[in-house]
Amino acid sequence: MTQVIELTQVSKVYNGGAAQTALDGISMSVASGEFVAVMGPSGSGKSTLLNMVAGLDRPTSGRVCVGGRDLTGLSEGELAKFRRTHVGIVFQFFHLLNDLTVLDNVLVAAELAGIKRSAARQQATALLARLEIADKADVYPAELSGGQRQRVAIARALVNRPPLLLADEPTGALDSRSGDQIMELIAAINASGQTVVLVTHDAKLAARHAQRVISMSDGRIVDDAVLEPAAGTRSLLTFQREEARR
Amino acid sequence: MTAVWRKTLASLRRRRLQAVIIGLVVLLAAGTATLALTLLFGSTNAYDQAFAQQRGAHVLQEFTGGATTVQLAHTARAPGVTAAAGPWRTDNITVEPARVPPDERQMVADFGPPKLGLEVVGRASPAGPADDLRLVAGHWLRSGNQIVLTRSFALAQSLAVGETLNAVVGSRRVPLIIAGEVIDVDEMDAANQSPQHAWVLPATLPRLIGPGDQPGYEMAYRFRHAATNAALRADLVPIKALLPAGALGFTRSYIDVRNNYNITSALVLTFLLAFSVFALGAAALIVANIVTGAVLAGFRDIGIMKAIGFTPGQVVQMLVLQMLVPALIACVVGIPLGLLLSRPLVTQSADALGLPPPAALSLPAVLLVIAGVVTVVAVSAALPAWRAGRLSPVRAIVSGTAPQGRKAVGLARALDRLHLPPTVRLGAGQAFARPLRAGFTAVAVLVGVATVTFAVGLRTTLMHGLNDPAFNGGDYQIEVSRLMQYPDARLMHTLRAQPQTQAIVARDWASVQVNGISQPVQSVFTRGDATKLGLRALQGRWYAAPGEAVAPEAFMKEAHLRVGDYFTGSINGRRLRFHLVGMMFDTAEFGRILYMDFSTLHRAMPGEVPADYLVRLRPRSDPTAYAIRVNRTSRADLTVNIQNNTASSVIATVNDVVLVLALVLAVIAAAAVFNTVLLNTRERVRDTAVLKAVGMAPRQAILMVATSAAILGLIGGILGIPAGVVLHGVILQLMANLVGNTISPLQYQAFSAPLLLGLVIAGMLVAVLGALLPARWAAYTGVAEVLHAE
Ligand SMILES: Nc1ncnc2c1ncn2[C@@H]1O[C@H](COP(=O)(O)OP(=O)(O)O)[C@@H](O)[C@H]1O
Ligand SMILES: [Mg+2]
Repeated sequence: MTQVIELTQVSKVYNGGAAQTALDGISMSVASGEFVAVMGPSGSGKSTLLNMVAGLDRPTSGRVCVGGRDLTGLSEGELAKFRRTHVGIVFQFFHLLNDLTVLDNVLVAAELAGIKRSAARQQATALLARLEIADKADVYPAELSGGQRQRVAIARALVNRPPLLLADEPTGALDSRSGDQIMELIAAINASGQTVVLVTHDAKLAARHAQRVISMSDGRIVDDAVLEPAAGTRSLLTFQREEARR
Repeated sequence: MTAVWRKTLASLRRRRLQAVIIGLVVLLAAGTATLALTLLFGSTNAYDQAFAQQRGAHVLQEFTGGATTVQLAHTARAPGVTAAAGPWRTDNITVEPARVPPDERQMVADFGPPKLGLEVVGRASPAGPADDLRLVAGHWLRSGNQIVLTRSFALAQSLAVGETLNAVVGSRRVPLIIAGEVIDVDEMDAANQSPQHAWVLPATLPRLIGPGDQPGYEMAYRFRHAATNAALRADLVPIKALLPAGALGFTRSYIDVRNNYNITSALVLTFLLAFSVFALGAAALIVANIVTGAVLAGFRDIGIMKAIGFTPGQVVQMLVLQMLVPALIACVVGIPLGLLLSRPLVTQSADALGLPPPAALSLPAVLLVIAGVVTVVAVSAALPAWRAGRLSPVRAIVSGTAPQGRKAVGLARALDRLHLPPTVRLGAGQAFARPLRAGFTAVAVLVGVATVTFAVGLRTTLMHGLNDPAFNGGDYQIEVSRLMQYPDARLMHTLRAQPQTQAIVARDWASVQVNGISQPVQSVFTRGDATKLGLRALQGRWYAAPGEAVAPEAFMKEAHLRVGDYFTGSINGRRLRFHLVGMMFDTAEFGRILYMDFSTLHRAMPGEVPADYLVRLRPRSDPTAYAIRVNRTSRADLTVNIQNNTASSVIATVNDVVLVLALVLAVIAAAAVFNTVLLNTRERVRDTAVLKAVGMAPRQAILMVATSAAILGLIGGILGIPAGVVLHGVILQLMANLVGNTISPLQYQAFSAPLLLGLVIAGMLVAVLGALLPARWAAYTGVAEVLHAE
């Protein structure tokens, strides 16, 4: 299996007053088609890790390769071009552009990737239909519920059919019902062949959908477990029992 | 209050750049406003003060020889007269300074001694019930061979107390020693009124009357009702009734003198006031913009502030204070600066009246400026702040940003159809996403482009006016005055004999009594084709036959005449019918003047001959050589002046002031543009980060921001051009009106298409340049950093 993501000894130190080590020599890889959940307490470096993979931030040291390309050497412009076609990103707080309609929010990403407007429009409309928000195409984000906004964000992330989908706590700002729906969606996307890296601090979600769970703490990977589908179910049950006993 | 202060100071510290921009703009606005108001109060006060101290005459009235002193003395008891002085005997004489300054020896050798005209008044005492003369050098007259001059005349001719002037009386010279210099509040300065008054003892005056002179009398009156020239005209009616017909000669109104004294200030003031209003407006724009921006950007903050107990009033207070603090600091610097700059102008006018320089600080001006700045800043900050203060805290916290207005759907569709690159389309969309903010940017550019258009146009027009003979009194190089001893025919022969002579126009003055107007109108009569000197009518045509006349607007207004109208009147008691065939431009007597052909004067005064000759030379002639040759024919009886058509000092001052102020406003406008674009970009830094996250390259981000700024700059620029052109027309008209004239827009010729196009592009470039810095910053700030901070 080809490795979509390969991190080698990646460290990230923020220098704001007291130096803050967000990532501390992380090495790991993700294979094509995998569904990886990254877990850990708040401040453990999950988002920082995801930003490295997305090329949104640069490591202080180490190497980040995505889709066979070394991101460390790329310029800002090259990174932007890389993101257009290689990764789709979904954020906890949606980060939609409030001045644009739902459809335009999705179209922007397609157009930046150089897709012709008419083709992009078709693609975006189809995607919105698949995500069941086609009726909101001409509405502004301010009028949508959180779950609907996140669907738009997902549509925007998927419109260029990137091989890699990165999601940073996509359900963190949603109620549990909307959260479940979003997770079903992401699982379906993975099932259709796209590699997914999902950051969450929700163990239930990780266990239910991911094939592999990476646990982080203080900028380090403390556990990296591959779940057999069956074992996954079992461990979830075990987990729930343990929860109940406490 | 402490909580409000703490938050205010913290916000100011965090937004230093904005505080600096507000400070800078308010500083410039406050400085200009102070300059304007100090001038306004200072100059008017200086004259009024001197007028009160010296019991200035509301009217200085001249009388022809027809009235007797007894009759004239009676007029002091005419109804409405509160005080009168005189009658004094007067005569117009010519004098030659005895002393020749070393640097003028050659001139005197070539031209003979200069001949200066004076209107001498026989007067025993400088004091009296009206028109006191204030001695500022030497002493009052003590003997028959002394003369007292106005300080203005002495300064202009570099004459000093103790020097001798030789009065030209026929072929004799009567020496007069300068005893003193006085300030006379009832006449204009030497640059604007000639001849100037001069005083000798009553017994001396008859010795100065030469053959052919027409001595007369003069009286000074103060009236109960003297607020307007119309009131003064009414005041003169009962006086006229006490005297034989035709006795009333030239009238000098204190209002004209005061206007003349204030004219430089008045012209400069027109701009200064317009500019300070502009500058304050720009400051208001910037403040409103910054507060709107602060409200939009700090929406969540405001929600949280309210959640922890700030009242809406306190939120407003805080935002207003945030703007007032830098504005007040700017006043502390700007007001003294304005006072300092006003100093030379104010002292110069005080000096002309021999007054002690006025106090450096005009309290009403300063208070008015502070009140203006505080009001403008507070109101423009309070309006958007009030909206924020009333906001529901929950909504503010949850939504995190201000509610969005829907952008025009039609516009979006139109942009869709244009097949623009996505960055350009996004930029265009952004330009209109916040209509208020878009308006601010466009208006800032508009103000800048309008001011520069106006200033460039005004300079062009003024330079044009200075070079156009129709506006500067005619294109001639030589002016010759002759004494009685040198007859008209001989002088004409002399002038015609010179091969360099191209055109000769002889001039004479007389007053015309126009029916319907109580006071006589000073009129110019020309012999020879005046249009050969470049004089022309701005409306209608130049006169070509006896009885035809042209006049500036002030006369036409006073007489309720339009071009084409007929009117009646008299010259020297002889009734005549006139035809107003054109309107001209002439600032003499504030436009209360008539121009006619000499043949018209001849009908009333058959023996009259011109005294004054204007000569236009052929191209490339040497005026000095010409003047020397003409003068050689009789040094004693001719005065030959070489006309140097340099810019008058008023126009030069106005030109400089306009340039400086236009630059100031252009800087303010650029600051306003920079500021709105900066705020726009800051506000959008999250959006830009999101776009970068989905694949927008930094270069594209810059292009997007620049497009947005360029569109607004273009709109502002396109609207600014007509605004500037209209402003130019209005101010120019205002200026012309101040000197009793009108200028039709056709005369402007100030704007060329390439110039206007250039200005539009310049406005757009300022907007784009203002955008580039924050755009670069937004484009290269890390996405993770921005979104993490959210
Ligand atoms: N842009 C940044 N500037 C400074 N410190 C940061 C920045 N981003 C993250 N950090 C710090 O790095 C650590 C890891 O943060 P993050 O990756 O966001 O954690 P997580 O997503 O696991 O909650 C935190 O201590 C956080 O404060
Ligand atoms: Mg995180």
